[in-house]
This record gives sequence, structure tokens and C-alpha cells, in this order.
Amino acid sequence: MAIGSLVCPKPVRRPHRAVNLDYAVRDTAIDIFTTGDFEAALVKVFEHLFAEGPTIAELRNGGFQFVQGSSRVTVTLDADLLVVRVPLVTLPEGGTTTAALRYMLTRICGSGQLHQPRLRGDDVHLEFKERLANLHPIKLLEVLRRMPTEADKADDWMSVQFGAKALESEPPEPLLPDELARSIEIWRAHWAQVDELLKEGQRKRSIFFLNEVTALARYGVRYWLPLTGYLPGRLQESSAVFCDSDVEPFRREAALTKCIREMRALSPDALAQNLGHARYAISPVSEGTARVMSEYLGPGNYMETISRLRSSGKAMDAALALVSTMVFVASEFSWPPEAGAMFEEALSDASERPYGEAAAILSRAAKALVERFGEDPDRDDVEPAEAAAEAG
Amino acid sequence: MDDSFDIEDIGVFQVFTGGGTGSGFLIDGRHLVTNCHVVAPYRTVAVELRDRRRIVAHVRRIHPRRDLAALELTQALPIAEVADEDDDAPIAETPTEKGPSDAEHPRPRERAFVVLGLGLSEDVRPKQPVNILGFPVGLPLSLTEGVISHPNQLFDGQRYLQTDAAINPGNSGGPILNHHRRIVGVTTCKHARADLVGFGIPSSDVERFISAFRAQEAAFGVECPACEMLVETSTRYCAGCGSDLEELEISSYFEPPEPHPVSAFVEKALLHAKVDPVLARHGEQNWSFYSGSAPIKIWSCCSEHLCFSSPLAQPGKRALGDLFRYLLSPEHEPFAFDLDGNVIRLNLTVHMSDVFSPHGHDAMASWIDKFVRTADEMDNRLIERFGCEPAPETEVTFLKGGAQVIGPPSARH
Repeated sequence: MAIGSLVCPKPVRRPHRAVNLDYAVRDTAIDIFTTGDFEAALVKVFEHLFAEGPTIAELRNGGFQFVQGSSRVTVTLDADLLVVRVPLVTLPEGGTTTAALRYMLTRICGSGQLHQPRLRGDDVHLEFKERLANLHPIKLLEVLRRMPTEADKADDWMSVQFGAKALESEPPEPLLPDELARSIEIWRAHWAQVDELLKEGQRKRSIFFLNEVTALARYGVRYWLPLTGYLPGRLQESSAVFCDSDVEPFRREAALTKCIREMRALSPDALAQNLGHARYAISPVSEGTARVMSEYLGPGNYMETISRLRSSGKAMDAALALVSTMVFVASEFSWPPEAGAMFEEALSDASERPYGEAAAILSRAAKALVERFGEDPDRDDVEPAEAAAEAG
Repeated sequence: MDDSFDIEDIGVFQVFTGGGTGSGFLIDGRHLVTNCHVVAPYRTVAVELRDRRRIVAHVRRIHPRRDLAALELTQALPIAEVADEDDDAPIAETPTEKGPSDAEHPRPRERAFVVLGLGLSEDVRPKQPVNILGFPVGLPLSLTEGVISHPNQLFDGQRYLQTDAAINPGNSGGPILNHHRRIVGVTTCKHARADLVGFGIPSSDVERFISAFRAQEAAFGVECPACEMLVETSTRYCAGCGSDLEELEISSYFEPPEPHPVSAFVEKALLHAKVDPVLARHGEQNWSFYSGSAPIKIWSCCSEHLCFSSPLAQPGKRALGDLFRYLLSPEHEPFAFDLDGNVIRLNLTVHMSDVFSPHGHDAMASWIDKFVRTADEMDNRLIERFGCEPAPETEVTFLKGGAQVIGPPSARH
């Protein structure tokens, strides 16, 4: 059965708060660090990340804590040694212990990362330790951003896969009853829609269409639902194959088919256990910038392709591409509330409309978003003039 | 080509620099020929032998236009035989330096290498079968087959042997052999926009280059691209033909560029750890060497991190829980283990801010020194205490007995 329109429900997920980081403060921290005043640089790093960062005295006496999803991060200062620690899990008893340990060594440890899991007794923490003199602000920022995110992804996964017990995990705020009911409905509709689109893609034998279906499968659910628990990790594992354009199409389709089957088989209770509004002290997604908005929704090859599809009778492909791009941009970056509302309104308006109408609505919305939040097309004309003035 | 052709005995070796890797072949026990583009702008490079030992070689002469370079090894290699032009005996049967002591010592015998003679490129004909020896894409010594497509092809203003034999990065500088195992050309490049179109420098040009090198007294010289006179010092104009050598970019061969700060940082740390950085270089911002039995690899994985990693061992069949707990123990800080497939690696990650900030240099150098020593000790410990197997790259001859010594024999100071 071919589907006649795309469903784009109102999201249950709360948007990530817009990031308003003051990069001048970060640069000041770097300047101070280079002068050798390491404690002052440390304070500035926290000031850059948090509205109210800790003082050196607070770091020495009990430390500073913040919540990042299910992770509770503790930062302490002992003499000149800064320790950042996130409790992960208590190892399970029995036959899955070795598998859990191997998983940590294979998937959580690794080269090219500053934090590492450390085992004390049966408790696993992600840890980072560094002397202040070696703690360049950029290094600390990377640890504070990346380590809790990794822990947030790993703890629930290890609980479900190996029966490990999450250690000092921060529970998410439960959904209200109507939010839960809507989430279950969105979940069902999303995977049913992706299933139909995949079949349509197999009929079309179009890589472009496959790319857009897989993007919708991955990012749609992240945009619409406040997923927590092990599901984000499971989806990421599957989408690493079905979203990878370097993988052969038949393998991508097989991976998506398997994922759809698994997700549709999930009971409402099991889904409910993986839903909740998590708190994040630091935005877990990248900062939405004018460049990002223009790159994805502004004039360029991609939007020209969509325009060509619209004018050549391929409205379905165009509408799907616009929906998948919008849910990607809206969910993977943090935006001001006004931009978030524009995304939501456009997708809502396009929902269940004929493809041609939906594509027209979303194209207009994309243009409006770029005009309002994208790069200023005249900026290139301004910068040389400013530079010339400075040089003169 | 003879079926008993044993390429392992032939004096063709991998050449390592801070810019990449290539191939080179012996012209006697002390000298190799390779491509200029393999070694330039370095004046000191490393040559790896079959047992993975590396020895330093000095670049003595280069011909930038004809893309040839002559290297002098700091340690002479034993030579089995200089192939005679009329000798078609299979290489595997050539006498090597074997002795009764070989059976008594686990250390491999000192292998003797065959120096291949030059053939006549003038005699090369289309469709004639040829073999290319070299180290494509960093793989161990490999042989590829093909035929001569054109014996005297004009390409980019010069004459080449053209062949359809597969040529890949890393083959550069290796020999092209005829079916009598004579060198008829030196692999230099392939056509960027075509398949199976490779080029070799004809042996006539190689012979002239080697003859001139044998007569050379200067420690280093560059052949003028215009008149082929040897330029021994950095100078603006060629004394022979008056060509503007600066315009021909010859001065860069006399004054190698300043190393990248990342390279400078790593190589200073390696010196601190008593590892010769020249022997450790493995391409751009990439180093590899042995600390006793343990292979150590250093590379920039991204713009933020410098990775130090040593594949040490593979888990055994028993007490895996105890092994894994040990690997995750905090006692290894600041290092950490991981499992790459089934290989246990010891890792250290250095942030680029440490490279560009002088505050952390001493601390990082100490860590790197400790990393090099720990890697060599740790493979023994994992094998003895936890029943692990050596990793595929472990230099097993240095397990246990050689564990106290830093670096492969050639890297020791």
C-alpha cells in the first residue's frame, strides 16, 4: 500500500536550550592559562560553560556537580590535580560479567580520547585526571562535553545488555500521561511510515530516496520523541549501517528492515521505560549557527536538487527530503525558541498534505528560516571593507 | 621468471621518511637507489630490513628531474651475490651466510642479500614480461607482474618505460625486472587518470646516475636539472650551465624545511625516550618503532589528538575476567588499554593543546618515555601472568630476554 502523504506530528521532545556561550570568556581562559595562572583559567572555563560555575574553594571542598542526561558529573580539585568523574555501572554478577568487561574494553575504552573507564571493585567510572599546569582550557572543555555524553550513552546500554546496575544514575523527568500516550502513537506511526517509505524506495531503486528514508528513520524519532535509556544506543548502532552511504544499498536496506521490525515489536511498556525528559547542563547537541542553517537549508546543490525534483513531478521525493533535512537540523543542533517554533510549525503544516503541497510549504519555511537565522549573504561585501579600514 | 624466485633474499627494502614510505634497491652492500621524491627533502632516512630492524641511511646524491636518489647505509649489509648478467640461476639457490651457529641461537641468522644487476633498457621490447618489486601501500615486499606497454614512452617531457604492471603508493623507487632478473627500470609513478599505466626510469639513466655517484666525493650533491652537473652547496646559479637553481627549487634540498610543531614535539619526546626519531618516522605525522618486543605507533587521529598505541597481545582462552579487570584497573593511569578486535592495545592520548603549550612539554615527555618502557614490559606480563598470546606484530625474539632494552637494535643509542 503506497502512502499518500507524510505524517509529521507535533514533537513531545522538549527542544534543547539554545546555547549562548560567551567565547570571549573561553579566549580569556586561554590567555590566562598561557600566563601561568592555572586556577584563574580553570574558573573561567566553568564560567564559559555554566551560568554559575564553581569557585576554586568549591572545587576543593566537595567539588562541583552537574547533570548531563543520566550522568552525574563530579569535578574535584585535590592540590593541583583536577579529577572529572562520571559513575557508570556496577558490574553484573554471573556469566555476563566477562561480556560487560569486554564491551567496555572494545567500545568505551579507546585511543584518541582523553577519558577512560576505570574499574574499582565492581564499580566502573569514566575518569579524567590532569594537573592544572597541563590542563589547557580547550582540553578541559573537550572532557566536560564529551565524557558525560559517552557515559549517558553507555550506562543504560550496559544495564539492558549485560544486567549491569547503573551507578548513581540521574533519572529523567517522567512524561505526563498525555505525553506518553502521544509518544506511543508517534512511535507506531513513525515506524509504519518508514516501513512504507522503504518499500517505496525499493520500488524506485533510488539512492537519493534511500538516503532520505534512512535519515528520516534516524532523525525523525530523535526530533519527535524524548528517548532515553538504551534505545538511543540501539538506534545509533543500527543507523551506523543503514545511514552509511558507503555501505552497499542492499545491506543498508536489510539493516533498516531489521531495525523497523525490532522497533515495531517493542511493547508500549518497554517504550515507556525509554522515554523521559532528561536534563542537560551542557547542550548535548552542537550549537546551531547561521552557517549550519544556510548549509543545510540555504541555496546550494542540495536545495537545487529538491527544486528540480519538485518541478519534474517527483514531489514525494522532494517532500521526504525536506522533512528529513528539517528534522535533522532541528534535532541535531540547538536553536533559539523562535527557530524551533518555525521548524515545528512548518512540519505541522506539511503533515498529511499531498506531497506537492507539503514540499511547497517546507520550501517556503526553509527559505524563511535561512533569511531569519542563516548567514547574511552581504557579509562578504562588508568584511573586506572593514579589513581595509583597519589596515588603513 | 623462474618459479623458485625468492624475493625475500633480494636487496629491495622499504624506505621510511617523515613524508612517506617508498622502496629502494641495493647497488652494493652499502648503497641503495630509490626515487628522489621518496626521500626529499630529508637528508637522513630509515631503511627497514626483513627482520623489521631499521638502519639509518644518508642521502648522498639526488637527481630531482630524473627522480633518482642514492643513499648510503650507516651499516653495511651482507651481500650474497652480485648477479652476473649471464647468470640465470634461481635466486633461492644462491649461497647465503649460513653457519652451524644458526641452530644454536634463536636469533635469526644475518640474512645475506642479492644485489641485482642492471639490464639494458635499450633491449626492452613491447609485450616483454616484467616484474615490479616494492612495498605497495605499506605492505611487505610484494611482486607484481605485467608487460612493457611502451619501451620509450614520452611523458611529461621525459622518456620512460611504460608498463601495465600494478604500481601503487609505496612502490616508488623499487626495481622493474626483466625475466632474467635484471633491473631494466626504476618504478617512479603512474598516470593519475588512467589504470594500468605506470612508468619507470630506464636503466640507461639509472646506470649513468650510479656511475656518477660512484665517482662522487662530496657528502651530498644535487644534479642540476638542466646540465646534470653536481651542485654541492646551495647556490643561486648552476656553475655549469647558469640555470637559476632557485627557480628550479633546488635550494630546498640543501635547506630542509622546519618540521611541523607536532613532529618537533614527538621527535623531541622520542629522543627523551632514547628512541632515534629518524628510525621511527613512518610518513607524515606518523611514527612506528619497536620498544623491545612491543610495536609502538604514533599518529594524529584528528586535529585535536595525538595517539600513542602499542598492540601488545591477544587474550588467551582462560581467566579472561581477571585479565579484563586488570586491563581496566586504575593502576595503569595515565595509560589505558583497549581491545582492537582481539588485540590488547596500550594507549596514551596527548591533546594538541599540550603540543602547542610549553607548560606541558616536560610532563608529556615523561609520559611518553614511560609509555615506551611500559609497552615493552607489559606484553611479557600479559603473556606470563594471564596466558595471553603475542599480538601479530609482536617481535617475539625480544620477548622476555630483550624486554629491558629500549628499541630495536638499530634504534638503541
